[in-house]
Formats: sequence, C-alpha cells, structure tokens
Amino acid sequence: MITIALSKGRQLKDFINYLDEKKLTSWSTALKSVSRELVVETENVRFMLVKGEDVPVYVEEGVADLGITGSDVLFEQDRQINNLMDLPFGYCHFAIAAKEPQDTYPVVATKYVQFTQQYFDSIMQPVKIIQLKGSVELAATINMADAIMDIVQTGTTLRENGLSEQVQLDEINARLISNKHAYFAKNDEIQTIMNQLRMNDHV
Amino acid sequence: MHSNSHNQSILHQKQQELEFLHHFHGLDFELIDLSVIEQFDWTKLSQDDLGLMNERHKWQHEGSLFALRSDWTNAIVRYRKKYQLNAEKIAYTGPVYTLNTEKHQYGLEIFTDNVDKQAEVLTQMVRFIKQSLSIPLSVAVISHNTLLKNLLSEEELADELTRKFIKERNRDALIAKLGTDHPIVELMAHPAAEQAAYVKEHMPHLKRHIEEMSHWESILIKENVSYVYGDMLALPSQSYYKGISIQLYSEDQVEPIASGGQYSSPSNAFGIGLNV
Repeated sequence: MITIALSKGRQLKDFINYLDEKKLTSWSTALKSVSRELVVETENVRFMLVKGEDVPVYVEEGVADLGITGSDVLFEQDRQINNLMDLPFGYCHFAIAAKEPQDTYPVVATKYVQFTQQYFDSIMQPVKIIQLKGSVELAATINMADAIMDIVQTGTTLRENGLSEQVQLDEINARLISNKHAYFAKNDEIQTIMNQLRMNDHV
Repeated sequence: MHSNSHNQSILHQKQQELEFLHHFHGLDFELIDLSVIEQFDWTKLSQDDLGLMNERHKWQHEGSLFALRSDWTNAIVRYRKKYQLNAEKIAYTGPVYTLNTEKHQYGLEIFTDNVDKQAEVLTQMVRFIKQSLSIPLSVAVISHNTLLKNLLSEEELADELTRKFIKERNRDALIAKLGTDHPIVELMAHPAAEQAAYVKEHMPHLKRHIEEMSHWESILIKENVSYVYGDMLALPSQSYYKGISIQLYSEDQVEPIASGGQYSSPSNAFGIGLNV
C-alpha cells in the first residue's frame, strides 16, 4: 500500500482532472467522493488530504510515501525529500506586484521569505522583507510595503486590489515528491505510479 | 508507576551501552573515549571542519574555537591526524550533538584496507543490532562515494544547486541545468533498481565501483536484511569518505538506525555508527 499526501483545494481539483485525462478513474472516482474526509483509500493507494504547505512534512516524516504539492511550497522549505517529477497542473508564477513601477522596491511583503531574499540577493539590491501569512496584497495597497512578492495565476486578485504585476519571476507547477526511505523500500510501486502520472511528452 | 518505568528505561539504556562495550571488547576491539568538547585552531581549520561548523554548537574562548562533537568518525579522523592510535579495531559509545538534536552513538572503526576485515566489522554490527538489540533491519542502502566524481566535473560537483538537485533526484531541474545528454541525467532516467545494471553496461570505467557495491550488498543479503539497494547518486558529505557508504534502516523508520562506510584519513579505514 502506497500513501500519497495531497493538497486540498484547487490543486486537488486539478489533480482529479489530470487523473481523468490519464484514465486513472479508480483514483479520481475515490477522490471525487470526498466531502470532509481526510483519508481516502482505493485498492492499492491511500490518499491523505492535507494543507499544501504540510505535504512535504508528511512525506519527510514517512507518514506518506509520496506527495503532490506546488514547487513554491518546496522552495520555501528545506526538507529531506526527493523532488521527483513535474506534473502538468497548478501552473502559476512568482511575481513582484506594486501600485506603480519603481526603480527599486526597498520594502517587500510576502509569504515567500526565502524566495524573496534570494531574488533580491541575485539582483544585488538590499530589501526589508515583511513576512505575512495571508492577504498580502493589502500591505502594498495601504503602503506598508513598496511591493509584494506573491504567486500569480490570473492576476485578478492583484487588479481588484489596485496592484499590477511589475516583474514576472519563476514558473510554478505541481511536483511529485517522495520520502527518501520509501523511494528505495517501495521503489517498484513508486516507479509504477511515476510512469502512470508521467506527462506523455516527458523526456 | 510512571517513575518506575522511567527508571527502568534509564537502567536499560545504560545496561545496553555497557553490553555493547563488553560485547565488542570480547571481540578484540579496543575501547576508546574522547572529550565531547573539541578544540580547534582558527588557522588550521580544514574545509571539512568548516563545512561541519554550520551544523555544530560552537563558541570561542581565549582565542580558541570550541565545538560539541557532532560526529564520532569526524572526531576520530581528527584524533588520528594528531595522535598515534595503535589499535586496529576500536569501539566507542557517547553522545553527539547537532544544532537541534542529541543522539547517543555506539560505533566501531577498523583501520585497515583489507575489505574482508572491514566487512566482518559490518557483519558484527548487523548481528549485534539484530540479536542483542532485537531490532530487525528492513532496508540497507549501499552507495559509492567516488561514483559521482566520475560522472560530474569538479565544477559541477562543487555547485550547490547541482548537488541539491542530485540529492533530491530532481531530474527535471538537472535537465535544465546540465542538458538532456549529461550522463547523470541519462542515468536518472532509469528506475533506482536498474541504475547499477545501466552503469555497468554503459559506463565500463565504473564497473569496478559497481562490483564493489555488489560485494557489500551480498554481505547484507547474507545477513537477511530484507531489501538491499544500490544508490548510484550518493554525495559524500566529507572529503575523507572515499569508498563504500552504507545506511541501515529498521522497519518504518525515516532516519537510518546505523550508517557508516569506508574513509581515508590518512590511511584506509571503515567505520559504522549506531544511533540509539
């Protein structure tokens, strides 16, 4: 039995659509039936439905053998896991957003502290980072920060808060991750799942 | 009641430690003990010393640098550089500290390049774990610390991102960084269980490394470890690890219960430590 930790919410819907595309209907049927359960079992796979940011924790601890979460989540966490494979959903990107374009953005509010620090280090500009847990747009709207660093999918939320994308940065998508120990101990099963989930045009 | 079980647990732990030392002393291992506080000279720090400092508790006093022991083999390597150690086989027990963890290690070292003698030490440790501690071993992962040096340039091997991608088996990122034709990218296209056969067939200059790995795998299979795998992608954490590296796991444990391998500092040696 393989246990897979999945992000609840939009990424779960995208995953179910992808499973339907790949004709993995026993998994998608089981996941579609979920209302408030946190664990769903099929014949060979147990799915655990958790918060996206917690997926790497369950995988690192070995409670789940595999996990699916966004590359943005993995970027912020230094976990001992295998980061195995791209999955073709959950597409968005990191971006700096502000009310107006500026030459520099000395104060930036974000949930993504590591990514932000690394970006400003790469362009050799000092930055003060204000870490927030949510509603990050507000920080730039009320001038608490010069800009925000956030993930952007359609840009609607930015526009609704009077902000616009100023610098488009790294692409984000869903990734399949594995527990380091399970990667060897359950290699046959994991390899089978990787092959089932692999994109057709993958090298 | 709670207090009594707590007392029993402490007594059991101390008894187990003594049993380990008696057991291996009986098998001709010399027993050693080293200070848990290690002293360094700022001007004589090696790259390995510097690399480990991030993970250690350290402080400065009267011009010297001090750190808590974080790894027994590392402490023994430095001891051997400084002092003569006449014994061929040694056994030790004691705590190691990283920034956030405290572990108690029981370990064995043998200073010889005789692989049969090294393998015997591994076998003795495996039997102690299974028979004296009654811990079944479910998985063993064997790797070769010089394999990647043959697949990557010095520059690639030193690159932090490349090392991270290899460690995480992130083939997509490695393709973007090194290209689809890079030997390591081609190797990673194969399932872990088939990578040894791929290296043997397509990289004949690395055949010797794979055969060495197979030899150590066969020793652990003979000791009834349930699953024994060869890992082609291990990155050596310290420069003195030059040969085989071994990690032993008990059922459902994320961290290896024991790990060790061959090293050279200054002469060839093999060591294995058990994390209690």
